[in-house]
Amino acid sequence: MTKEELLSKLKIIITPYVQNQEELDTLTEETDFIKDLEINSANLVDVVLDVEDEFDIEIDNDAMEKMLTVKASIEVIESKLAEK
Amino acid sequence: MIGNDIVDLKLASRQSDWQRKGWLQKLFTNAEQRLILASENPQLQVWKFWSMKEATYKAHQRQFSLSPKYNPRDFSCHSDTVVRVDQYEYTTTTKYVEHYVYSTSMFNSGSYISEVYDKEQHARLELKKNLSLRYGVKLAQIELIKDENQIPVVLCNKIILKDLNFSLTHHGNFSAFVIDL
Repeated sequence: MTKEELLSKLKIIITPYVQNQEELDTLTEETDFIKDLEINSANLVDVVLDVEDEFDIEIDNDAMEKMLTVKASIEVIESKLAEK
Repeated sequence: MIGNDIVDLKLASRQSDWQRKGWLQKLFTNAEQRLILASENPQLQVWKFWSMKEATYKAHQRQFSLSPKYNPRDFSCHSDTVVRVDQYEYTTTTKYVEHYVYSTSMFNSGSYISEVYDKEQHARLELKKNLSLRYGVKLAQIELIKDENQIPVVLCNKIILKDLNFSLTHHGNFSAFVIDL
């Protein structure tokens, strides 16, 4: 899977939880889930669970604690996919 | 150090499905999960524990200038008033009123002012008013910004007020601030 494909899948996953739609339109790797997209912290776990379902991977606590930005999430997904 | 967190219960029930597979397991310790499931009102217990963890996360983050992390399981509730993270113990108070749950968390006991408002952005304004009185400056001279770790700090005449111990929270129809006296 290319990084672009990964990014577009991630964008679909986070969309229902985003409270700042303008930032979603200009999503980059640097985008921060809480600061920029205003995703509620109690919904970040839904992003993590959706990512697990979509990519059929398991995200442990050490990986989850990093998943606060697009970049960090893509890195987690890539490394978990590589372990499969 | 101090932190606070408010949960609008109506909004929370719309935004989150706590019974979703894996949801509790990712956020709560095994002991917390048992207490939640044994509780008379599991959903309310979820948000009580959650607000205790979030309030403590904020106090802990300010205490050690920590960069943001999503590690709610590392903050474990040991009673209604104690949350531990690593070797540190924080004292919490949690208030449950019809439409919200509100927690404050402190590392050292001390006197503080804590106020809840039923409008989303009200706490920011009221905190600024409090500070403008405290420092004898105009409201416009007080600014609230976030530092590189996303921790809120106060600027007075563009200068950071270091060591000011406070926390802000908002969710749905509610907002609150807490600050050292």
